[in-house]
Amino acid sequence: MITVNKHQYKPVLTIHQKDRIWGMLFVIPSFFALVLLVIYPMLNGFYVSLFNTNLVSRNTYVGLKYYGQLFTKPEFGNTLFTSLKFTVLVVCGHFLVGGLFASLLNKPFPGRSFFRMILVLPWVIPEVSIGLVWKWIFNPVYGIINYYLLQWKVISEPVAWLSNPATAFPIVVFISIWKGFPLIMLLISAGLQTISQDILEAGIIDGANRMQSVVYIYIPSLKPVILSAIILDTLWWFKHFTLVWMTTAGGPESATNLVSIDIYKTAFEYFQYGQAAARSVVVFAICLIISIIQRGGLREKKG
Amino acid sequence: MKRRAKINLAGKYLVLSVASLLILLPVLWMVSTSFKNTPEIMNGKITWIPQEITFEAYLRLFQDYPFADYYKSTLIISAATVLIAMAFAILSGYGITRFRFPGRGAYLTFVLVTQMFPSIMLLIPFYKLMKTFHLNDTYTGMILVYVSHTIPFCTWLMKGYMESIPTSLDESAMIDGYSRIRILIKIICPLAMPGIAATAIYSLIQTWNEFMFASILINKETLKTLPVGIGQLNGYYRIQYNDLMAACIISSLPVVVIYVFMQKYFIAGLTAGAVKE
Amino acid sequence: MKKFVCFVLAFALVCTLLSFAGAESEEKVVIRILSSQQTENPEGSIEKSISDAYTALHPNVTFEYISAKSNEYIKKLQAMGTAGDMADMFQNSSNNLPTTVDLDLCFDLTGLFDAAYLDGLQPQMREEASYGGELLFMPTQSLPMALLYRDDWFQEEGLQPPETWDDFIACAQALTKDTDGDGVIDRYGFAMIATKDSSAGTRFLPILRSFGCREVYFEDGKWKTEVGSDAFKLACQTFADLDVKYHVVQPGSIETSYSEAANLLVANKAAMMITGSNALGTIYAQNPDLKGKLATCAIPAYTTHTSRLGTLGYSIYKGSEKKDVCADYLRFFLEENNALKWTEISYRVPVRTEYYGNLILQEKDMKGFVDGIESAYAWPQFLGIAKTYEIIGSVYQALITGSMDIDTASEQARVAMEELIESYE
Repeated sequence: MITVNKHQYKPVLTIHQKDRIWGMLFVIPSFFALVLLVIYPMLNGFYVSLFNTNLVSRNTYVGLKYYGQLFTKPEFGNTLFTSLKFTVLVVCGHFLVGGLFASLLNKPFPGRSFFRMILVLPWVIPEVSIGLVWKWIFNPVYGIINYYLLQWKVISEPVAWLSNPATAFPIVVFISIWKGFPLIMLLISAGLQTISQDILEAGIIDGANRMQSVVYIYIPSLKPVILSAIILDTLWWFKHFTLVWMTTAGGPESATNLVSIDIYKTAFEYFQYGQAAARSVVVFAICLIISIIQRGGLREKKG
Repeated sequence: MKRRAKINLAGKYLVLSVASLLILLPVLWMVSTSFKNTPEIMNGKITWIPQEITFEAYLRLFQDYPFADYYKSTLIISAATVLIAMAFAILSGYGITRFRFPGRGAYLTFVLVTQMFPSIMLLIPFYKLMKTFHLNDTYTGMILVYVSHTIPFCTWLMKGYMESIPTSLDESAMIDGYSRIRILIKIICPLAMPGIAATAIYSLIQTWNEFMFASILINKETLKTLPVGIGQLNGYYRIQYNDLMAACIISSLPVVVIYVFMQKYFIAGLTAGAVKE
Repeated sequence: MKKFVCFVLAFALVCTLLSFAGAESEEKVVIRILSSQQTENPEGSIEKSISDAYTALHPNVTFEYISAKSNEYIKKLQAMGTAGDMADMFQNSSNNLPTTVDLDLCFDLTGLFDAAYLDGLQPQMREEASYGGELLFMPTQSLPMALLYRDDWFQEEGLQPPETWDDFIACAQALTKDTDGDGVIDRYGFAMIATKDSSAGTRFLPILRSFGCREVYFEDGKWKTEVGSDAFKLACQTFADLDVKYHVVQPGSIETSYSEAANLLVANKAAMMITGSNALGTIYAQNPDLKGKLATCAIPAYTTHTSRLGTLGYSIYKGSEKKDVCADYLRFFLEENNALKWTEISYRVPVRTEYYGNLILQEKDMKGFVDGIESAYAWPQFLGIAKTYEIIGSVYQALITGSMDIDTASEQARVAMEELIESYE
């Protein structure tokens, strides 16, 4: 592993004209790929949000009407709130669970790589399969959960876990944490390995107890890792679709109706493509705000 | 002190075992179901070890369904995506960390911004783009789509990783008369190998398991990828759980094997990439 | 590692190049068909066997299927339509017709077939395939809805097939049992589907009609709704009561999809189900012992018996240059031996009345479905129908979870329906 020397971060060799061109040349391939493939669809989304359209034959300009509707009716607000709640819980869950296992696996002990392999499995299995298997496990008639709970007399009759708003939401959150924590675990365990032993030892000599070393050494050293992972994790899970769609499809009632499910239904079940695009633009704006706040936090820490 | 360490270790094993159990519960259930025959699944009893172990589900995948084709196209698309996305990400990672040029910071923000629009709404424009450039139903088209999906995170990861490689190495190489490209290939890349491996596995997992775009953009049966094949097994009229679970397993297996093979690199690699903003 | 990378790179390049190389020879006619049946078993292989038979007769015509499972089907249709990449033929149904009309994809088939031929179609099914006087898809089969029940259990209990919803509740109560005596109910009277998607909606709307309430109907040039009426409340309440009051359905009706409900019958865990005729194929394929044990009758009535035809067929794409070949293929598809394959293997009701003498249709498990044709109502050709499922589904779900009383829920649904109708004007 490469040891990191704090004094050598500066990304500058020498600044002269040639460097500028070289730098741009290196970045151009990916810039080009992204512009070509992502920018048109995104701009198209903004444009379409101003029309009542099915993208083929129906095409009426409605201006900002759909944005107005979003803010005057409570439904979309509720969906956003559900999504935010979901994202906060899932992202916190990823970091708590991921952090816990990263620290448990930090030091060598017998069986470490075995556990490290097991714990990463949820990340490797396709989301489609994970959604189906969990739905099956929670199935009230055939599911394993009800089978054991009935056998152990914890419950007296089968419970319909995903049909009850009070249990469906936590279960969906649980499954999402289950699926996503391994990536965070890997990022944090990587971060832990870079904390210089010297600092830790210095802490011990200074008489820092375990709690103090967590607060004063681990957390500050990990903050950059945590923050940059938080940005992307938040973006991904705020827009999350597949797992929730496979398990509850937004139900029961609207307990798990995330914003991406709402957008999906509006576009592909109700054929109000313009309305769906308007919602997407709002989601985009929220993502942008979240990431600005998060990056702000990051910079503050650095400075 | 020793006793306390023992208690600690026991606690560690306890927590890890409980967590592993939670993870293995669905995974083992998948494995167990894939070896059952249909009547045993339908009788509603919970058996972890099938009464009669059968490989028929696995056989059906290759006889009744074109899983060999799905495998082939997933392999081609993923391998090419990983290579191209990595090449691009390495270049831009190097460019961003080694040169100061206008728009450097803006580019990093731009990369992040491409991750913000709900991807469901990008499906139809993507289809249109593919059609316009006559790339629909080709490997090339799918590879381009996935390259654009994976470049952003790969770029961030590679940038962080390159930052940790001291610039003094570049400087001394330049004194020796190395060109920029040669420095990148001969000096930086070997040093960054762990990071490259880590980033590569991230993009591999993303591409290998992507469902939504593949299901809409690919029309030809022989070009479909494994997740689409799995999705199709989950029929509207009927779910054949054993076939479905067998498909999940054969689809995840290669990625698990690659992960195990690269585990050591991976952990070390993510380290340097992630630490710095 | 290096070698591995080189190998993969070379492999990827070769394969990418190969993908460009597959040029097609010119004389042949290739018909592209977009179908969701392709992903189903055995429907996909029946469909394929018919097109293979056609190719055997006309070697210059071959077929290329684009398969998309039902959930992805509309997305695919929309993507292909938007990009001008539509298949020559695509599967259509009474449920999807308004969407395909909205997307302006279907060619009027009236001119491609002579009038006498079209008169041979079952009139209601022909109507379901028509829009504004144009025949927009050729109906090939229909899946009328009926009440499917375990005849053997009905006889054991001395029950008669239910006529009214009260009879139905009584039957369901008699059939809900703890068969192994462990104190937990393990057999349910009714396999209920109470999600709020199309799989529940296409079943609940006929129930609603049997109470005399129309979810949407077209009158005086505009769409209207009876959601919120007393009949509506009664229908939703009765449906929800099956779960919360009478406890005659499986736990978790809100999360039960069609295939899971059918699995309850397969596993001898449920006695009744409201479904289209294709359920027989699904159930027998997984539990052949049930042959002879199932029977069907009309959906119980409050004011009237109702059914939904659920007509399926193929549209020819407006922009296709091979319309004549497609039309000829459709004629072939509806020839007796081909049309009846669907009946024999997959329990579909044929669309040409001349085939109705087929003995399979007289069997007790098919009879209720066939009789359903008589009482079926014209499926509303309303673009917002999927949202209707959602709005009405929210009402019975609220009653099942107990989060709202019927008056509040029903009023909310009425307002939502009116807004919905307005938004599609």
